[in-house]
Amino acid sequence: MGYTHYTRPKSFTVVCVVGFLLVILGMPTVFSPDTRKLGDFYPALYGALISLRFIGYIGLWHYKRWGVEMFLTTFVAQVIVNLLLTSVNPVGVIYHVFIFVFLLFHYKKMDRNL
Amino acid sequence: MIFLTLLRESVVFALNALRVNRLRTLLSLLGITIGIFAIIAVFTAVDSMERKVRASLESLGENVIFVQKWPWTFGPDYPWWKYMNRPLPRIRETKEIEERSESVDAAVFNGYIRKTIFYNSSFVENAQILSTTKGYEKVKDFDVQFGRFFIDEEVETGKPVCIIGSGIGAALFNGEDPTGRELRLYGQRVTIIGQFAREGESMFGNSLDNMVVLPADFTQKYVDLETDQVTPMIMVKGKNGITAEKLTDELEGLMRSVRRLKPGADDNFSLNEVSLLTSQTESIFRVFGTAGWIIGAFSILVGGFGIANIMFVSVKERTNQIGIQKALGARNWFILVQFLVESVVLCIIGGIIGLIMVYIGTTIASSMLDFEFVLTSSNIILGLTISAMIGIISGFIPSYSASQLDPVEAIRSGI
Repeated sequence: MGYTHYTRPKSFTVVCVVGFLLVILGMPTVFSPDTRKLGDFYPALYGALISLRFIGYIGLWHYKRWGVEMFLTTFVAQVIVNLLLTSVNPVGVIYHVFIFVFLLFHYKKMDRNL
Repeated sequence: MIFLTLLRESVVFALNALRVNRLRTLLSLLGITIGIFAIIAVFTAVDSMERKVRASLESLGENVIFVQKWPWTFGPDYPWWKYMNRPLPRIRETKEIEERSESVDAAVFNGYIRKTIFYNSSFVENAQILSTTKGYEKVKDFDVQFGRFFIDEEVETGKPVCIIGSGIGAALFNGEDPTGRELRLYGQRVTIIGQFAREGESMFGNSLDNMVVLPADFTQKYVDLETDQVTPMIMVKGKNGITAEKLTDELEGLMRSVRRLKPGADDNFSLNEVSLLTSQTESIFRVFGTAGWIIGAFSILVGGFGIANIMFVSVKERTNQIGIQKALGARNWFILVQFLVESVVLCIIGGIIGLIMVYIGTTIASSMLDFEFVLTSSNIILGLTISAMIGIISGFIPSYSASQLDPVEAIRSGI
């Protein structure tokens, strides 16, 4: 049985490092007074999205396809939730769309296993 | 079905880890427990205080404007010397507001005095005496426990009648119905016609519990109600459907006209409304909330590292077992979920211990401080969410590394 060795490009490393930092900085916002004001269940929902996004970045770090899929899922879920709460951050949306387009270019070359 | 089996197995693994290495696991959970305790305790305290302040503010009256000499809120360039020379609200002005306004449902003059009241040989020192004009029942919500409230004639003619608060009733009459009994005040006999139901403590000292309410026309025979010592104010309530903004606009014009202020001259009165205080208290509580949030964030961070560490140890200890599971056909995701659930369960146990500590703390504090601290369901959800989130984040890397182990190498490591 042959194993394919996948090497993570340097640009991916940069995206992942920035992503990890954003997730770490975003974690305290889960229980910030502003988030709590949006609704009782919003911190729970936001916490789940942050956790899944963190997992997604780990997938990207390991150059896995599921990392891109997780990234897309959490991004879409976040946008839907924010739209429902009418608190969309346009800068955040543009940044994530930009990253997603970048990830798509690499998607086919990435490892499809867990 | 397989997922449920996996979930059950993982929970059993987590509980086993807790049981087998009790001290080690509990020490690791301590970080999460303290973190959840810190965050939720602060949020519970802030929420409880906020609720109390809101209730006290609401007791001041909804859609009620207070015409006073001094404003309730002020900035850094507060021109107190201007306010000092302002005239005080007068009973005559109250009547003019009521007669001339189209939006006003009731305008009531209030003056507060502290005085010792007597009943036979019993007395209450420094009881708060509220002197009021017709319509008080329209601007303030209250319940009458015994007897009744004033009728218009009693207020207009200044009859020597009063309604007492439940605290005064308890002190003088041991909680019995006081109606018909006579208090001595200003050397006069004042008949009690009613007693208010208990309201509880108010943060602004406006609870009716320790008040004696008298007609202003009676009190002003003995005391000047238009001096700074009685803190005179006019409470104005708008008619149904009249917004506070519209009422304020009309009152401003009316008061300027009543006081004959020239165009361009500054107002020599303040129109205070509850929403001004609400926005101020909100900003204060925001600061408290943020402080709790920062303290808790650091505790949680430390707790997260503790959980990550214990999970790495757990993976290392069970490497051989992982190898055997994989050799028997277990998929990578099975191993991953198994360890991830274990991490989440451990964190949730830590969180639950923290929440129990908060609950015990609030129960003890409530019984000792005569202030009700309430651990709300939203704070419980928040505590469990944070615990689960930390479990996922700190447990994922060890779980992922476990899932990526080569079965042969993993089995060998145990030999």
